[in-house]
Amino acid sequence: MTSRRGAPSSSSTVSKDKYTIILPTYNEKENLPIITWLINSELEKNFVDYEIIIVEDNSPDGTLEIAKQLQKIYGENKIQIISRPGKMGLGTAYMDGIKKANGNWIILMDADLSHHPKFIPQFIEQQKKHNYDIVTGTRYQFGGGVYGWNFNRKLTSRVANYIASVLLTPGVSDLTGSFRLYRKEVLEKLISVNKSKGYVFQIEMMVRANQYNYTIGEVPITFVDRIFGVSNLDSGEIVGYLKSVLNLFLTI
Amino acid sequence: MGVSDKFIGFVMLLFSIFVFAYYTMWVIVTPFIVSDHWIQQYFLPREYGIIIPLVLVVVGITAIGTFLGLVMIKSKKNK
Repeated sequence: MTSRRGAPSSSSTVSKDKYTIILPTYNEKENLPIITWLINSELEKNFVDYEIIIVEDNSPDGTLEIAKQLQKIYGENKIQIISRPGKMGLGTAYMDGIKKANGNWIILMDADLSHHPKFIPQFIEQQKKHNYDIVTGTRYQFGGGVYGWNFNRKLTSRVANYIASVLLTPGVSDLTGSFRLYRKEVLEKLISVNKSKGYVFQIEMMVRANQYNYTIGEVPITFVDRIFGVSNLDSGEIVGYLKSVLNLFLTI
Repeated sequence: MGVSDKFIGFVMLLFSIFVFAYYTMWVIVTPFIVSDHWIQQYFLPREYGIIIPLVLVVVGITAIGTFLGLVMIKSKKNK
């Protein structure tokens, strides 16, 4: 590391970009080694300086042990672990991750292999091309999509996205997606004002980003849902979603 | 699975285009065509152009309202 590391990240060509990937985990004992390996191989291939922060919510299946072993393999400068007493929500997981982050960019993604790390270099490239504050993966643009959902699930997702889009006009095609790249300061700002939970948390991120005039880019991604078992939405979740979106619409 | 989903989507798209074209023709074009022209027999009497959408909207809103109501009642019971 050169002494120029201390320079502000806005001084373009001189300072290097470091990308922190925050992985909230709960019962991801099997997926964690795979996703770590994928992140490592995809990013090393593209000469990206990265680190992974695993935010472990005291999983009963021993994910913490696996995380510690991975840390021994990849090194403490590549993997940090934050062990929390239990499931405390995505927002606080991200907040805790940011506090320990050494990078100037934060990447948020799912740890259950529904997001493939091969898209991360594409996010980075897109960001550099247009100097975006945020780059979000989208399932709904050409080149993007979903694997593993039946027709009803896809339809529900599309309709939900459409309803939220019409009410909140966020300027992005995929509102509930959670595979995103943020400038560190931008993410800190957005999380501090975010009051929602679940799907609507991700929506509120985009809406607030628009409110503060942050620039957002999009990259088509493929979302691969659980290979085993069906992920179904129950009607209570649907109504909860609609209520939250309406609430957001009325309070923004 | 993806191929059949694409097919369903395509059929839905085709159906919507057909409905759109038919309705547009019906409401905008037919009033300007002579009433004993052969094409007029393919379109219903014009009052139905208002009645049918109205009925669909009322039925749709009732269905959605009932669905929301039932779910909210169920969740209150579970609490």
